[in-house]
Amino acid sequence: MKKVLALLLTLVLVMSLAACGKSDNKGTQGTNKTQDTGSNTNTNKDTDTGKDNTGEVTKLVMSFMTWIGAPSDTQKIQDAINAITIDRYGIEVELLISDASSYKQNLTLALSGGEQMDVFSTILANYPILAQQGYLYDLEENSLITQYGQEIIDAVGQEYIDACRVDGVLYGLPNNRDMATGRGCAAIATEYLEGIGYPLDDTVEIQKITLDELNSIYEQLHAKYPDLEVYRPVAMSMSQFSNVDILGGNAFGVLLNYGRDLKVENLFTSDYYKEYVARMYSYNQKGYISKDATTDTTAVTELVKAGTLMGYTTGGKPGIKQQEASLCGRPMTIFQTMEDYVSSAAVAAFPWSISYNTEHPEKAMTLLKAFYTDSDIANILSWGIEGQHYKVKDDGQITFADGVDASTSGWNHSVTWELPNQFITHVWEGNFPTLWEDLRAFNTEAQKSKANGFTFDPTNVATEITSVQNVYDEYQKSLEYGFIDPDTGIQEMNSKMMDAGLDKIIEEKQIQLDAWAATR
Amino acid sequence: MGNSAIVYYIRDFIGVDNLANLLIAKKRRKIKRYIPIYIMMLPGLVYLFINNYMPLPGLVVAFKQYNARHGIFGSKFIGLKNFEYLFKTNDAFIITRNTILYNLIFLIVNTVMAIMVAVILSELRGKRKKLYQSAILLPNLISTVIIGYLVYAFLSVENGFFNNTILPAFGIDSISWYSEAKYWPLIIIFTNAWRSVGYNCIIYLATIMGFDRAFYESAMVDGASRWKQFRYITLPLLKPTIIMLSLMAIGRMFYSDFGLFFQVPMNQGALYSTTSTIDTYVYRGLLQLGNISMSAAAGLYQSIVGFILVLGANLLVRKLDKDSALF
Repeated sequence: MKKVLALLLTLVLVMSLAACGKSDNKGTQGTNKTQDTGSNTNTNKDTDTGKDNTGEVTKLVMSFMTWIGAPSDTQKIQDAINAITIDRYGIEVELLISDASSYKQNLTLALSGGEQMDVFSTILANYPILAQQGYLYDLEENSLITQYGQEIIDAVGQEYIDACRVDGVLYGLPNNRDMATGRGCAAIATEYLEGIGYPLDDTVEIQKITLDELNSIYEQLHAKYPDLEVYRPVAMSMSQFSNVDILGGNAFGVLLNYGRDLKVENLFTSDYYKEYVARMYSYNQKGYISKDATTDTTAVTELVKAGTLMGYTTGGKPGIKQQEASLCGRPMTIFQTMEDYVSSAAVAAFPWSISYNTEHPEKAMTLLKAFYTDSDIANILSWGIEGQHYKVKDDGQITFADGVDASTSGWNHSVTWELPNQFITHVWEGNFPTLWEDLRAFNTEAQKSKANGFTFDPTNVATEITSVQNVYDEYQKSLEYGFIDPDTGIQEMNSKMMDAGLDKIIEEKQIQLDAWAATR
Repeated sequence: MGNSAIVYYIRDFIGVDNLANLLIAKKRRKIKRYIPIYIMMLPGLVYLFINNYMPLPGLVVAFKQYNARHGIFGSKFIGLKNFEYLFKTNDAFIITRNTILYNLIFLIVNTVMAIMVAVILSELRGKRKKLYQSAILLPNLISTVIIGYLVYAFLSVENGFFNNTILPAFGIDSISWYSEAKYWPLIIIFTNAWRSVGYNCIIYLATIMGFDRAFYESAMVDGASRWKQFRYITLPLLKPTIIMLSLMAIGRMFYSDFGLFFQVPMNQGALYSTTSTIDTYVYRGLLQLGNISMSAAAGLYQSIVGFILVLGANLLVRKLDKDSALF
């Protein structure tokens, strides 16, 4: 009797386990929707030419990142977008939003795991590498872009489109945003500047000063507020406060002097780098920088908000003052010591792409076109639903809807610059009403890197990059946050990097750059 | 682990030859009797097969230049090129040294601590024992990220407990812990011991509780001290357990606890010379490149060396004490 019972029990166990597995499968299939949408492909392909909506509804997955992950009203926004796209384009969108720290991982996992992921931003995921590893769809295959997305080219301009080519093939579409960056910018909370009696100029958004003037501001701030941290460097500060063109996604082999010449050089032996590190070292010696700067990972804007930090480095652009003020929760003043610059990687930094395994490339392109050209859905994606998340003021600018503020709004992601086309959306209050025109002018007037549009293929030197990166990781913070003596530190790092193959990377970059220049 | 101990006893009682005959005779009946147990094993075996054996052909990706469009098997074959970066600089030496030395020290420190705590706990009775055991086990249940911040609370330069309270009390200047690599071997070993001793002692404690109290009683009658009881009764009886747990640890000698070496030193570059291990090195390198083939290469390298270490250690144990060997 006991035996029979045991047998029965095990059978039940096995069965229930099997059942578990089955229902699991169902779950994943349900979210992937590969089966039921698969049948739509054929019918769409034939009829989907000029007219966008054929009566069939295709379900597509669209993914991008925000700093905090999916906002609480994501479902509402998705429904509001679908209410428009199903009608106008025959597309139902599912939004997959991850936070910044896990976006790259989620994206690569979805792509390599064959999950449905049709349209996505390549932000933080290293666009050229994704392209070289075969994850992205060739947007010119069967003249996909000219047939279904000509309006995108019109919206962003052929020049920017061409800058996104990897080895001559177009894998991504640049979005409309600030391509140039005001180099050498410092953001300092206005109240402290008033405290030291610094003359502020309210007529301009960004005050141009020299580096010496900035140093003297820091000195006065430190004298007046000895208990507060004057300046906090972050990993990006060095490149933001430089005339260096980070070529091909890493600092190993760069163009100096705003990329005026196509000569790849070693950043770490340059005079610029020595001066920068020495300046940080003197900041640290004077007590401007917290001793916990290397270990504390709190965002600088949060530190300013908390009232423990006065200033940090940022990238200048029209709209920066409002952007930093809203992040820091207090009025900010922006100073600039260097020039506006479009680096070689700026345009192709994070284009929008289509997955290599999408079943509906035409529909995916149509969806992208919609977000580039249809201000109704672009506004929903950027700012939310009118009346619920934002309201239009009399002067045409927008602000939070009644009864909602920055912390209670269910759709307040502040990554509108990541979305396809912010130039067709509303302007938030506190900016100049001409913000988008200003940004366009800013992009065209800034000086451009000669290597604009060059993408680097690291395959041949992947080994060296990994090794050199490890050396850089070892020294970067100590040096660039000013914690070790620059004279010995830089030398030590350089000799280790040479051992790890820095020369070979620089050489390879120069070869690829020359080859690229020859085709232009 | 109980098995080898039991076999030990039975062998002493009835002799090796008799035991062998008995086992063969019983075998047939056993198989029939254990059918339900085999069936119970089936889901686990199926899972093991699907999870651990089916992905094995995928290891070939370590020798390929992976391209999603062509898939794992269609990608270009590039031989051992993916392994190169591991041996490119003298980093390879540092990370291999760190990985092995830390694991060796962990093995010794953790075993000694675990046996010590287990013996002490076994002497206690009632509610107190449960309380102590739970308290010792608690750190093991805390996420490494939080452990990292607990350590940070002690070591932070500006607000840390050490620099603000302990060091001034002895008149020592504050130390910037996160930029001085030389202190970290001690910090890591201490953190690891603090965190894992509670878990490690469970098995030892269970084994000790299973010992026949008669041994100790007769030892006490003979006037053996506590130390002598430990030295001549507890320790010899624990030997098979110690050997087996050590063997298992040796098998993982080439792996490191990623959280301990990445989160606890807060991924500080200045500390790499004493905190970088194979796992963190590979993670950092591949974070930049996102190269599947190179991570597979690193994983394969670790597995192969780990496999050799297990075989070697087992061989050694078999030479020294045949009955304690795993296979």
